[in-house]
Amino acid sequence: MSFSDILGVSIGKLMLRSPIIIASGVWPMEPERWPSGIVDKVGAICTKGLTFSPKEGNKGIRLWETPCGLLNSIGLQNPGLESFLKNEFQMLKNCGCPLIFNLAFHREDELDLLLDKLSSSGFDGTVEINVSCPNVSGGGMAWAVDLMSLEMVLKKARAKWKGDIWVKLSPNVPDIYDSAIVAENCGADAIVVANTWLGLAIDIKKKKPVFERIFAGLSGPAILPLSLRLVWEATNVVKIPVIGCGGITDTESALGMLMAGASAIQIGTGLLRDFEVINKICGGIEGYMEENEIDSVKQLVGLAKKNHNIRG
Amino acid sequence: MGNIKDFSAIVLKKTAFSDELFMLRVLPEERIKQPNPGQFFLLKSWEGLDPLLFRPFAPVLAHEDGSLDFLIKVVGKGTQIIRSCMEGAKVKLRGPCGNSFPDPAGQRLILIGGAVGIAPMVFSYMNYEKKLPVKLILGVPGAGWDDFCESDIFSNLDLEIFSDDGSIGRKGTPLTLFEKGEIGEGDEIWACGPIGMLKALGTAIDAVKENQIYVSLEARMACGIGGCLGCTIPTKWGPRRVCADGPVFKWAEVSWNEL
Ligand SMILES: Cc1cc2nc3c(=O)[nH]c(=O)nc-3n(C[C@H](O)[C@H](O)[C@H](O)COP(=O)(O)OP(=O)(O)OC[C@H]3O[C@@H](n4cnc5c(N)ncnc54)[C@H](O)[C@@H]3O)c2cc1C
Ligand SMILES: Cc1cc2nc3c(=O)[nH]c(=O)nc-3n(C[C@H](O)[C@H](O)[C@H](O)COP(=O)(O)O)c2cc1C
Ligand code: FES
Repeated sequence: MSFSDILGVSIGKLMLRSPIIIASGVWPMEPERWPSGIVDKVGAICTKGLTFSPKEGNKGIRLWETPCGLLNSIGLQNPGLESFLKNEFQMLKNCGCPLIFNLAFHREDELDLLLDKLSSSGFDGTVEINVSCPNVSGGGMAWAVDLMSLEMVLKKARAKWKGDIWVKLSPNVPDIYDSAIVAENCGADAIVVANTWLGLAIDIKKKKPVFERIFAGLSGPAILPLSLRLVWEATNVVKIPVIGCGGITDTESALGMLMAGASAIQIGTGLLRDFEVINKICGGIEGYMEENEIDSVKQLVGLAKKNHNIRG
Repeated sequence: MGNIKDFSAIVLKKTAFSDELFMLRVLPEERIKQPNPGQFFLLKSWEGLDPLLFRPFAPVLAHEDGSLDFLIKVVGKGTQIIRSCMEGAKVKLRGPCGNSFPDPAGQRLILIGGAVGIAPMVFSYMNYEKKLPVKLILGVPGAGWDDFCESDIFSNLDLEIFSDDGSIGRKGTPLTLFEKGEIGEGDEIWACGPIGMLKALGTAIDAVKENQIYVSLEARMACGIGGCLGCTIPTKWGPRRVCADGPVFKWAEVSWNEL
């Protein structure tokens, strides 16, 4: 059996050679910067969050390490979709891996404009609608928190976009059920659960918050149990695939995420810590499947849910 | 594809200069691209999840056998753990990262290092000493830095030392040289060290050409390859990544007042 027979999964119309996707915002958008051999087993790559107009991102400190975690306040720095399509995309489109456009917006009409621009470039693949960025004022994660506006914006996007739509949900909500159901009802092809958790760091030497925007997004292994819970909950209420994201750093955490119900996995911070992590996880999952006589990674999806009433 | 990769290395030697300052010689276990002056590596000596990320360091020297020397000041959790590394221990590195200093256009190269900022300056010295006159200027706080200042890293180098308390070399900072008119037209300046010292290099602009002052900057990093946009500094052209567009910048392009 080939690598993709064993590890391949499909999410909507997209066939992935492995269930491991590079999460938005951590990987260079210039393929000439990629260390060799790192993306060979990657299922897909999400672009940096793209907005309609260019954004300079946040001032001051942008990264702060916490025990087993990372707070970031990048603030969606990006060249704007138009420039991205003209420059980075020209190199990325032949990178040998499907590209998912992560789109972020402040006002509702901006998402319209982003989708129009993307269609006019000839791209008709998958978009990941980012309604969960915690590091910008207005828009960002406010979309996922207000269910009425989430519904309105996703319905309009669905009517416009012929390709697949993934919705990247926010963990910073009272519960994930509502936004997951809204996304499914609006015709999303998959949901990504989830983005970073809103956190705070205090610089005790300066006696003030570390970040200019005070709060920042927490990622990395520290949030793994939280994202596992959200994926478990979301897969209880929707039928569309749920892509698990948050805290994956090794084979065990990746297997756990699949067994909790995720059909695929996104990795962000884990890759910052170890460029080999995706190769290691793919090898580790294959090894686990062989040991446990499992033929396809799809059989792992939600396994813990099926088994949880079995004693022993 | 880029030349940067994650690789393992063995600690060959650790030399302590004080409680807070040591040098680590590591030998990569595989062939890596040799760094250029100004480039740096990310390093960690732990396997677990806390600390989570690599720490950036600029090599002082690259030896013929492929080993690299790093000069490390203990400032927090990561550098404390690295200090406890024994000879023979395995460490992980990522690199070589970043751009490098362009070949000098001046007639003489003045390399200024503030404290551990001297590391990439020694590296540059070795690279250029046969090509043009090079002078190394080291600024240190003073007490506690004696063993380091007398170490054989600096033997046979044209070195001048300044200390804040006057206990080592001349009293003052490397910037004293500008006040005394010891640096002038035709000199090119490369510097690395505390941000205050780098910013103050602006006072040299009357003496040397503005576009012949380069600085190597520091920022918190996660990826080291230009992906996460966590390490940006403000420049005239907007935010730029220290790990990929830098760490070497022209002095005049940095927006010092926003730093
Ligand atoms: C390009 C470059 C070259 C460097 N070269 C050297 C060198 O040759 N010798 C040397 O002693 N130091 C060097 N530094 C600084 C060194 O990286 C920090 O002192 C180190 O990361 C501190 O880690 P820590 O865990 O001990 O400190 P902590 O304060 O506990 O670190 C917490 C977090 O902040 C980051 N951080 C803290 N201080 C700095 C800093 N000054 N720069 C970047 N990140 C920081 C850490 O990496 C870590 O992610 C360099 C930094 C850069 C960016
Ligand atoms: C430095 C950094 C930048 C990020 N930028 C984006 C972004 O532009 N858009 C987005 O949807 N998520 C962004 N994220 C969130 C990640 O894609 C991911 O959802 C989150 O970090 C949790 O996964 P992890 O624990 O594997 O990192 C960013 C995360 C980090 C650490
Ligand atoms: S450390 Fe990630 S862009 Fe510089």
